[in-house]
Amino acid sequence: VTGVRDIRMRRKRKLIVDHVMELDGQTMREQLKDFNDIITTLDMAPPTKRLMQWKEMGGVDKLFALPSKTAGDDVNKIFSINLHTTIPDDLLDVTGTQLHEQ
Amino acid sequence: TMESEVSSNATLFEIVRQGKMAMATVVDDWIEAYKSDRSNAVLDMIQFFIHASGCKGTVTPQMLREATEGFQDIIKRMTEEFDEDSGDYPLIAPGLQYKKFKSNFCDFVQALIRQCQYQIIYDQFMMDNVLTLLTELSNSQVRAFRHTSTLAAMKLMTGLVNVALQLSVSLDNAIRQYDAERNKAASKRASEKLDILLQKRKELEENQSEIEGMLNGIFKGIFVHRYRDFIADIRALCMEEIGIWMKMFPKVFLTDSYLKYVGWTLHDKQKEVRSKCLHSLIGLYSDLELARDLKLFTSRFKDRIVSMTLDKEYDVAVHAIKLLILVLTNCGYETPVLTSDDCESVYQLVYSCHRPVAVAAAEFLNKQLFLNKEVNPGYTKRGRRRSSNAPLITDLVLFFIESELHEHTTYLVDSLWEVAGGMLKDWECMSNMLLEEPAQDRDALDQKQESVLVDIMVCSVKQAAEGCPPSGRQGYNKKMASKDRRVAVEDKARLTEHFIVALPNLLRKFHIDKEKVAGLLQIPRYFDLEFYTTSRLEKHLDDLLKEIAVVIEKHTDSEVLEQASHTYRFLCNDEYTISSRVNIALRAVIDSWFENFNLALAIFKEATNQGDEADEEEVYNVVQSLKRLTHLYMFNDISSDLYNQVNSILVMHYDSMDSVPEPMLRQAIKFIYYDLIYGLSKVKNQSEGNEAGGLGSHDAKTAISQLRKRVTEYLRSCELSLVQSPHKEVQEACYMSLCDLLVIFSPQLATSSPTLKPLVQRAPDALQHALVDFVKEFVFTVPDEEEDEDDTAKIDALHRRRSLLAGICKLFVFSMIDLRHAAFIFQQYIRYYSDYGDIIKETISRSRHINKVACAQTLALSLMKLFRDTLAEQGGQLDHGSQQYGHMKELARRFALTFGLDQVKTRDAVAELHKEGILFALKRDDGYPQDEFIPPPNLSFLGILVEFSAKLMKQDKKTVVNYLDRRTKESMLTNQDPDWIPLITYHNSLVQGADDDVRS
Repeated sequence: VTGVRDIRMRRKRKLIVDHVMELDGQTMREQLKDFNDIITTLDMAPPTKRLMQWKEMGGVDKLFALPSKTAGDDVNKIFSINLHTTIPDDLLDVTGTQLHEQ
Repeated sequence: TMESEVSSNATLFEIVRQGKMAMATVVDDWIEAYKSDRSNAVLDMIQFFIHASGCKGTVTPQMLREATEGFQDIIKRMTEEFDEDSGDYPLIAPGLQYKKFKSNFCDFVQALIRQCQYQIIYDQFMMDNVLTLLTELSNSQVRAFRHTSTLAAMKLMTGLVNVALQLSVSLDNAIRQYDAERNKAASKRASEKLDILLQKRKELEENQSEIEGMLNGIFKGIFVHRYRDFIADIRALCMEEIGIWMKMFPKVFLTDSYLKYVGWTLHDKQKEVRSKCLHSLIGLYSDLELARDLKLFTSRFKDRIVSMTLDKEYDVAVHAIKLLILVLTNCGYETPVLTSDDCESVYQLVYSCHRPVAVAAAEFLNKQLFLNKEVNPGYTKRGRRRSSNAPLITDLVLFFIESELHEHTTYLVDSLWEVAGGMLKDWECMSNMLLEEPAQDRDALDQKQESVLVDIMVCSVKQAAEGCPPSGRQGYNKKMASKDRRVAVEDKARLTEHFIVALPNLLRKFHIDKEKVAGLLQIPRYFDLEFYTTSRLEKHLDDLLKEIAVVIEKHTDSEVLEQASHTYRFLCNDEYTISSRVNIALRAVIDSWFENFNLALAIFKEATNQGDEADEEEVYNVVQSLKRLTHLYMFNDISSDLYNQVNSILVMHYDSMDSVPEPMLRQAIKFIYYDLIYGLSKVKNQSEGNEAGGLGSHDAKTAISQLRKRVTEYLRSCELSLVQSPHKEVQEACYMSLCDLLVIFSPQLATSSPTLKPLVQRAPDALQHALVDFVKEFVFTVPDEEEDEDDTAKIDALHRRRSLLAGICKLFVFSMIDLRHAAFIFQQYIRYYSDYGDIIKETISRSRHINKVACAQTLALSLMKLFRDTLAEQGGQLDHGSQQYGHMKELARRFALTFGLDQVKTRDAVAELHKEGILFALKRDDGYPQDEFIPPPNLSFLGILVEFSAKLMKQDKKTVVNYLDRRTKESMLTNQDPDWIPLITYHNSLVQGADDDVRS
């Protein structure tokens, strides 16, 4: 393009110049013929109740917060209240076998 | 005011950019200037467009004088003098400065045409100059010039189309007036008037011709090139504008020679451009008159438009569907435009996971199926007129069954919610359709259709009461508007009032059908329970409770029992007066099943005591009565005294393996699980109550002691069955019980309830191994590819395995079992990435958070084990080109990535990992001395360990390299034998970037 030459300080110009200004005939014809790349297939919401439940409850956060077995809130609370790592000092290094001997 | 003071030195561009003056006023000022000095004013206008493109160059009068062919020289000069700061230009520049520039710019250009339309536009000076300039600028490779001038030209043309329209109207008037005058009888004619009218008409025709010329000039000179510009924004603005011309002046522009550009550009690869095309078409098709002229276009491009409902970009898809709705509405040609295939491809989109697409598709469906349908609803057998919604709801049921894409109606209901909410919330109609027999057979529903109707009814109850769409969809703002909340409250009241009465009848009629019953049982959970009391409807509550008891009597299906249990829990809410009533009813049900179970178990024991086998019915009775109790236990504290009875089943089993059928054993395992948890709950409440005084502390101590014994016993039983049982279902039930109870009775229990410390359990080592072995066998396995298992079954199975994996990972993450046992699981990170990657990653990161060093040790252990196994498989000599080796390297690399970027935080862990790795790599079997010529068997492990060198801080690299050097000989580093390469590579990785790069 005329005018955009490093005449002055040979600095790199930031002016955006499009050497190709138009879509050529070939491109236009291809577009009309084949538009499969801008089409997709139906991405369905979960098709069964079960899958819908899994989608909601099957993520990492939920999996790590709830017990494996289905139960009501009372059970879930008793479970989740223990999901931390603070334990009494006297139980810190006690193994299963030692506990049983107590 | 200061704001209205515009500096006389301010350029036209600045004034427009600032936008403090109305564009009409700016144009007025310019016109004044034009009238006194045309050339100067035009110079200003030229300068304006140059500045508006972001160019800082100045156009001088001399340049204009010297300009030969149009403005080419000037444009070239301006390009040289552009003086740009960046690639931005006013139309696209971010920031407050240029935020409103585009709209001001467009307003200015249109105001210019509007205010010049009567005279200046025809003076062959202004327009000539402006159009030439814009045409030439639009041909520039400089994007700023091209984009800005194209926008100006398109808006200018819109202004001219307006002028053309007005001329057209004026011309019609003039012609009419002229004809009217001319047709007057000669005596009444005024020839002067006739002349004037003729003159006027000629003038208008000349003007029209000139405007047409300009329009053609812009279209052929600019539009036909720029609609296919390389830059999407430029194409898009052309498509937007042509739509406006067509709508404004259809006589001229709504023809196939213009429409073809829109049709072609529907195929554009850029979504903004496709969207603009559809938007323009929507403007046209929404007008009934215009739609008539679109017949040919529609037939030619209909298929493309239908295909766009599945566009990759959801916004485009939504537009396409909306367009088709208009086609449906306004293109009522002799034969329907859309085929049934076309319609079906849109219908299926109601199940899309993208909610806006689904809602648009539902509008389409609604239009076809439900809107303005006058169907005679008919009568019931008892002579009452059915609701007008009945035929529509029937059609909805039939549609669902035919579409075969979903097995539940949740998302269909959600999609139709806004457009057909009235119909979907007509619960009275639905209940009547289910309860009342219609007079005409053709109005009757078969069993399957009734089930679908029940599902629709339950889903609509849920959505109405919750006031928000179901989970599992995307693309919308999930926050609930206050209006929605208010509507939900109203709906809740209405549904409560209706179903309090109707539900017992529905349950009574359908109590045999487990699918319907499982659905119906959920409805009370959306009630406002207050209504029972305030509206004195307790009798209906008694009815409901009776029906639920009958359902439990008649069904053994897990889903049904679970729903009944859950609903009981909801109804027992002691915030409501009815809770005592419900508790009494529930108690009666529980007691009756206690009795059934005890009896059945006694009969079973008697049969087996005599050495015989119990028959099928005897087993069945035990299993199924216990199953009822287990399911009730899921959501309610059934306060059972049955531990010993149920535990006797386990005792029988362990005494003699074959004495107890597998289903019975499994049910007993599940029952005791809940029994122990509720036992804990009771003891917890007692101990909390006892903090005040010492009342009943002896009872509490006894209860604790008894519970402790039972828990210990149960855990041992489960461990035994986990390891020994040949039945997968039993192993699974044991595994799940163990994972959950190890959390519930973990030392953390003593933190929240210190008095319950005696109840704490920890898994012995053998049990920990057993849990890992279970996971090895049932989670990290290639599932059997069953021929008839469809995709949904596969996904379901995957989720179950994920849930199992999470069971043990919770124990790792909260330090309830030894993290080192997780080594095997971490090893599977890459192999099972798509199935369990997120869970494994979460386990690594959470356990690192708890204990960095233990986590690093486990990662090291994981790699070392894998290395050992691979080495063994490859016969003791590691094949560095093998896939397994590549896998180990990749695994190490991914592990290293999990350490994150904060090197300070993880330095201890990383250093520890290196040390363990070094020890492992240099290990020799006892009896073999450190030989500087024979490499240790695991030395190539350093080729894996090297992946972690980058995670070491500089100073720690020094420490680690010293640690290494102390255990190796210097000569090993220069040994040419390729077996020593891993050591050399690893050593280098530590030395590069360390403070000292030579050993002393």
